[in-house]
Amino acid sequence: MTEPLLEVRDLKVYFSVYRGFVQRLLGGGDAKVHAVDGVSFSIAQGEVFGLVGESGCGKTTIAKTLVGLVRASSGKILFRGEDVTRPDRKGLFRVRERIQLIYQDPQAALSPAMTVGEAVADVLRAHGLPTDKGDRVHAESEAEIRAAVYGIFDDVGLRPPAFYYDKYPDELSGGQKQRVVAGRVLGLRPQLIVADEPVAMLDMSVRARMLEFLMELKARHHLTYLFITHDLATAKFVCDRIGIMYLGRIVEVGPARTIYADPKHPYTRALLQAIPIPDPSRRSAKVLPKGEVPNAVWPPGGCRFHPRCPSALPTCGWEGRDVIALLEERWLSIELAAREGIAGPIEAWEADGLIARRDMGTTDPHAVAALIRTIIDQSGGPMAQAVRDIRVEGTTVIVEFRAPEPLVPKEVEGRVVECLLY
Amino acid sequence: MADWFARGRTSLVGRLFGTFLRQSRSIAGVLVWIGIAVVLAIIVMALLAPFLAPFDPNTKVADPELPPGGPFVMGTDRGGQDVLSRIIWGSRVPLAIIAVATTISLALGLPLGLLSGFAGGRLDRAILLVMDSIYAFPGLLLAIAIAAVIGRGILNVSFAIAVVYIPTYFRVIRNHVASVKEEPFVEAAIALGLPRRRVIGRYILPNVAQSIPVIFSVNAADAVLTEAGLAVLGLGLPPGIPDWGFDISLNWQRFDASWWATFFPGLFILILTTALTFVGEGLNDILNPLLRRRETKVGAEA
Amino acid sequence: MTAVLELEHLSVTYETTQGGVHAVQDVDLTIASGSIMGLVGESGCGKSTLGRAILRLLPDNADMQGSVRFAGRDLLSLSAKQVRDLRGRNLAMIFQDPMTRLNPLMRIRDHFIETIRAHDPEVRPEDALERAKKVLADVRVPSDRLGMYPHELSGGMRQRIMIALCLLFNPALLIADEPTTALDVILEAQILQLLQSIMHEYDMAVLLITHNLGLVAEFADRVAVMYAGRIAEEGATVPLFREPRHPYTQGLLRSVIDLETTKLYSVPGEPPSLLGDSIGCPFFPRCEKRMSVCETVFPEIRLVGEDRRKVACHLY
Repeated sequence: MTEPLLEVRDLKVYFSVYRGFVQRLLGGGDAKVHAVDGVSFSIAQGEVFGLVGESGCGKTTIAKTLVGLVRASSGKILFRGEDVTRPDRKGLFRVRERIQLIYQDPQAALSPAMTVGEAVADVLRAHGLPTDKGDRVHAESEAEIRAAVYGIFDDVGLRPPAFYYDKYPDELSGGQKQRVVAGRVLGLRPQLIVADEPVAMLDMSVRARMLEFLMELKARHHLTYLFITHDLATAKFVCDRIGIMYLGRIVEVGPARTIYADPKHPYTRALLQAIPIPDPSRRSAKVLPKGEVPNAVWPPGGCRFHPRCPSALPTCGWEGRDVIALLEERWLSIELAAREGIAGPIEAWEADGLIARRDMGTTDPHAVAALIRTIIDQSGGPMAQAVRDIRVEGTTVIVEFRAPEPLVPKEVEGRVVECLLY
Repeated sequence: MADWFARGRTSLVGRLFGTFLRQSRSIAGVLVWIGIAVVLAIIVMALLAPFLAPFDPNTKVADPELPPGGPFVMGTDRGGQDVLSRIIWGSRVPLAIIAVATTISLALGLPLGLLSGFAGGRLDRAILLVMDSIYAFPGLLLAIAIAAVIGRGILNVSFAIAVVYIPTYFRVIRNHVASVKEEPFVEAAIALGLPRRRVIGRYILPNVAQSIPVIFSVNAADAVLTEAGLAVLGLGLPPGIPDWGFDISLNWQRFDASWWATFFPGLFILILTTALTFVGEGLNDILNPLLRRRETKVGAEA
Repeated sequence: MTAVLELEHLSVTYETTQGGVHAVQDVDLTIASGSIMGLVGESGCGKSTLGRAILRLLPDNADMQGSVRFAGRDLLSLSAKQVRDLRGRNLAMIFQDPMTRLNPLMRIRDHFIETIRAHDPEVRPEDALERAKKVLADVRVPSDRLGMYPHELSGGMRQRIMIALCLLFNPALLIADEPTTALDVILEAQILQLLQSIMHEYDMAVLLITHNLGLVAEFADRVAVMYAGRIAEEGATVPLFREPRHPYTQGLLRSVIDLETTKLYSVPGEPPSLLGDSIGCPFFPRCEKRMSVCETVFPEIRLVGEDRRKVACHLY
């Protein structure tokens, strides 16, 4: 296999959460958002690689890191074998010519105070005009730049170019604006285009046209795409290979056809199943994962999907806070909450890694421990078998879990999955 | 900055003016027109002072404290000078001070605001601290202190006033920049590898420029009052230059005997500041929606 | 079947400096009690304006004509106070972004207390909280969230809380304007499943306004397709999806990209501007089946086929 165009190795991007002065004084260390937490993938020349996931999974952070808008905390980004993880300023200028970003919202990506022709011209003024030899020269005159912009407009289908040059973004349709944004990027002759939800803001009736346009550009300019989307259906149509992301990790990656034909990771399955089908004769009851994507400041231990996973195993990473979540859900029923009142209220429980505990004060801790054991055994599912013990220390009830099995990506039927089922 | 002006094919001033013209029939637009008309009239009055003023402003032309009437439409003051002539000549001072003071504060406040807002971090906090400490002083008090140190004269007074208003420009521009900086189009410009100077000049400045005329008119109104205040306290211009504020300070103790010598200069200060405020408030109503346009596309919402 | 809401010849025009924007034109629509009516259309077609018009939540420059009959009364003829009284009590609405609809400085509990006391000033705060806890349990939100501020909650939780606030007075109709557009697919499905189960429990009708045909197909009983401020086609969901009759509906359905798409399709052209008066069929410039009559004569709504579907097209 030839050298990949882009290779990302164990990329981590953490953001510090701003904490007030008083909070920092009180200690507890710095909280960090684990936006991207150990992601590796590679993209071959000419390929369309899709990163698919829900909001907050880290896909946009990866996009921004690749084009240099966000700093990688650790890991490596190799472009044609060259390390571009932390380019200096000059290097950044060169990287940006080769890796370019197309935004989700073309309206927002264009300055409302600048005509679209100027938006493209401005980039050519800063970077020079591309020549046939592959280098760039600074334009001799404004006329030369205008001519180059016309050429680009023609290329992206804004014809006649002179008609569009002096328009403001407000005067163009969403599709036309996206063409301007694409043209502005093409003026730099990039090799890799990172397209961050390029069609999400467009109406359904014109979305297909945009996708066709992007694919046409790819063929004409020998581009490689990193296609970022939350929409599995669109990804299926355009991507050669896809990576499914969840909370800063890639949980499944491989050829698109293989994954769509037979998704292996429970999260991939959940995502596929949740897509609404525009055919009312095929309505079916869906089994959806519970709850929502957890906070990336404190991602769940073990497999990050385990608290929501319909196929979770006892070894997936059960921990103290899962007990609290279980009680919380159970006590949604006002009746049950009243009957099991001695173990409550929920706020009195605290989680610490593998442990959940509650100081019972004057209440009999042994009765509560017994109650908790029954609850976990009855409705905890796989969690029940992960419990090491439920014990009483003084007046405190403690639930402790066994450490999870280490999670490593595995090759399964032509794709790589990060899941203990395999 | 010069780079931006040279290359800006779409004139920023033209665009703002266009927005104003399109809305000039609204209530805010009428306010602005009235304000502009009044200010223009005063400017014409100042320019044509030698032809308009019936008497020399600095000469005793009649008995002191003659009531309005006869050749002395607004009476004479305690020095026997013609009040009307002094008012006509005196309009030059506030106008000159507006021009010089607002130019100085704009020239310093705008770049500092752009820099501070764009750079963020420590530099921002440092500049902010300095500006806030200036801002924390009562404006007039600060101007008095500066004027007392550097002495009288149009330039000196203008400078004293300018220092007071730098933080206003700075504050408004900086906050505006800090919010525009978060817009995706700025990030897109950075991602396209455009130099920082260009990002500020071509992508941020045009999107914050609509605040400038607004602050300008409001500050101008304030500057007139501050100058009058300095003059009343004897820290304004040297005697001999007719000035509304100075005339008030000269005559107000004799208000009971000759109210006209105090009243008319005061009236003109009021007229000028009101007109400038009309312009400022009206422009604020008209130009600021430019920023909110994205959220309020009337009728086009889904 | 009884109708909970009947729109007759409803038109909404925004007066702007550039002229009148005809956001909604001559819309007839009937929503049966206890059913879900899906209102689909693309951005700018007037569907949100229509939803807001029902609650009279439009800006001052909007002019409304026609009638909105709800519970035997014409909402357009009621006083502002009478409408306020109906809102939240008999008619409720949820929006795309729940964050902007909740006061960031108020705890969730205070949102509930305030909403309840706005309609029943006599209620004591403790009793209001009891009611809040009950509806929260119905939308599956733990009651400890009552003590939190909106920003401490996830997007899904906020939307559930918005729904709970709507349920307090057991309204007859809930207008859901793109309720899940800001949410991810899994959450979207969760929220709609929740809505579906709740509407049975509360015997409530839902007007589901969305651009997502898939959602309508999965959840709506009837569908109205809007284009350029008018209803292009309206009928029961199953036959409408099986055999769309209006060329716009056909184009829209063909352009959906789903997991089985093998060939991309997009409707040519762009939606028209709603500014100013127009003649003929608004879809004419983009229509693949256009005829000469379409350019000059507006197609009236006709009842077409066995399912007596409403279609505004000269083909029928």
